[in-house]
Amino acid sequence: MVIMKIMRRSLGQRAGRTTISILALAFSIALLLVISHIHEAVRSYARQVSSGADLIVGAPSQPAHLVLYSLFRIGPPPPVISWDLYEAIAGLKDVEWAAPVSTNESHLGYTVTGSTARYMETLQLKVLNFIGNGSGTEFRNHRSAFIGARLAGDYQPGETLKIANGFSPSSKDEYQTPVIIQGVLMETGTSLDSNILIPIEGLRKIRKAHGIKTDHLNFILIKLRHRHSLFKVQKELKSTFNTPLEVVIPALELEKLGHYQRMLNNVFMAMSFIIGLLSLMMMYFNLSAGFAERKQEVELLRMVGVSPWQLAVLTLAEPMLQILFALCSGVVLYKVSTLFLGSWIPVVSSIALPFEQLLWLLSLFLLGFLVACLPAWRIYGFSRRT
Amino acid sequence: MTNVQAVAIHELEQSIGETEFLRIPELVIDAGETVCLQGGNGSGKTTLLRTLMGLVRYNSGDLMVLGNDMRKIGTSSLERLRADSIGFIFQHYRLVPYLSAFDNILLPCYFSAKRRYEAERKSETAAKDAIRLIRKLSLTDPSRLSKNAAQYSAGQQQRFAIARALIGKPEMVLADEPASAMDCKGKKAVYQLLQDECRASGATLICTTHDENGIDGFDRYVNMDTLNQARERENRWSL
Repeated sequence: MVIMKIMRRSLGQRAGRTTISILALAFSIALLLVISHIHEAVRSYARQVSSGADLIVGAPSQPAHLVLYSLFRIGPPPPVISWDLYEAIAGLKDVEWAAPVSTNESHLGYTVTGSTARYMETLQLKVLNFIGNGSGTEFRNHRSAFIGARLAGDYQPGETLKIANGFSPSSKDEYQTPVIIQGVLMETGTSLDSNILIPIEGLRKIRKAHGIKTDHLNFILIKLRHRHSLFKVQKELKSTFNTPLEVVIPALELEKLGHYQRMLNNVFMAMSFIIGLLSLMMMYFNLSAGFAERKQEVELLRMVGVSPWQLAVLTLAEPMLQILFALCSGVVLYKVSTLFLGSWIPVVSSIALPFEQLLWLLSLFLLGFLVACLPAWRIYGFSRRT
Repeated sequence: MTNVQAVAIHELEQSIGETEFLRIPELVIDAGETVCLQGGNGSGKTTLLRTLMGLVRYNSGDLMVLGNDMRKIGTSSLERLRADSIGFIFQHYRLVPYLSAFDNILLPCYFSAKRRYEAERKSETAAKDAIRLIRKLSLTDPSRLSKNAAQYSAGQQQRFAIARALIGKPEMVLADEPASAMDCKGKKAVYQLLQDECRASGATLICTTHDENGIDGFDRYVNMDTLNQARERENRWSL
């Protein structure tokens, strides 16, 4: 009982230094977990999205660029390809479905994406419908539009939008047929949040009404009937058409990119682990620096009958309590951070942290235990001699 | 009065390397006796008290404390001897700075059932016994003992250390300059309290001081400069 009191008061006396050590350790633990969480979330999201489409076809460009733009809207849009190509690809017997995507139109600087419900499903886009009672991603008619979450504040459902050809359009580039807002896309955390999605068939009609004869698009997502024909179809698509094409397997490209992501992740993990180690060292130096002043305390406690074991436990319990408290605070900090991150980047909140990540915590705890054992052992030795 | 020996020293020598700290041919202190060890700085007063406590190991000779041969005593027996039977007042009081003054005084009762039992026997509870002792040490408001020990003045801290040594009726009280931080009036009160308490409980009191005047009431005064021959030799060398 009194031992607990001594421990509590002793910790309280060193509150300033103790708090800094605890904060540093808690921060490094939270950082470790958050980095692992983001890494896992991005990996799982990329895996899910890339599994929706087997192939992506576009004009010749860097394969990584084509994948990043078509799935995550990272980078500039790839050069256009003709609509005929889409029709030819969609007609192949190995192709289950093909989703054409065009991103050549805009509305007041916002990209207008023309595509199909398939594309939205592949990207796992969810919508909030305002018109009609549908809850899916189906467009109600050819003039319907879904607006990205970032546009939701400025536009009302049922409002009409005029779109234009290109991104710096003159007045003659503006299409006369407007689109009507059907619903809002749920936040994705990508630049799709500032996109306007319209049906590609509707877009083609609007273009025709404006006098544009040739239809074009930027890329096509393809789902095959059988995945084992992947390389065969890839080769076929590259060789069959007169136009040179880039045909990429998104899962493969993302795997290559994943290698760099893992490297980056490991660097961050190592950094936060080093912060953890430094805070443990700080804890150790705090304990060691107080050793001289504690010698007198130990001598007195020995005089009144405290045993060497009690004193060793006392010395061990102090840093262990600090480490435990830091671990708990770190986990709480991590949970709060992911909540915050989840509202900012929705994909981040969608995963549970794998169990292996807890090994990092366990190793930090064990290291902390070793660090705490050293002064406890010294105090034990000194007490035995007193 | 029985002539049981509380402390018996014969040819005691204590040194570290070439430096000799103690060389006491003979010293016997009877149980219940109050003894004042007087001597200048470096005369070996503190070393002798620490040797009696078993804090310092001696090299040769015989030392018996409360019937225990200090050469043969085991670690756990020494632990119990100190906790149950000896009250010690350090020169610099040595209170646990983050515990309250009250907890500091009660510390021996927390770890020794014997001391707690004796304190309760004297004043119903150990806490009441602590207050009784504090009142005797001229502290005006004994109820204000909840502050951390480090927040009190040096004189007050020394009083707490004295109360800690006396609580629970130890068989022997070793006091190393117990009134060094006090004024003349405080000093007299401290020596008087130590003597009264020890005499009332039949405890042996061994007190050290470098003051030569105004220390009254002890049964015996021992001059450490004469008793400890190690210092004489050291002085001769330095000449």
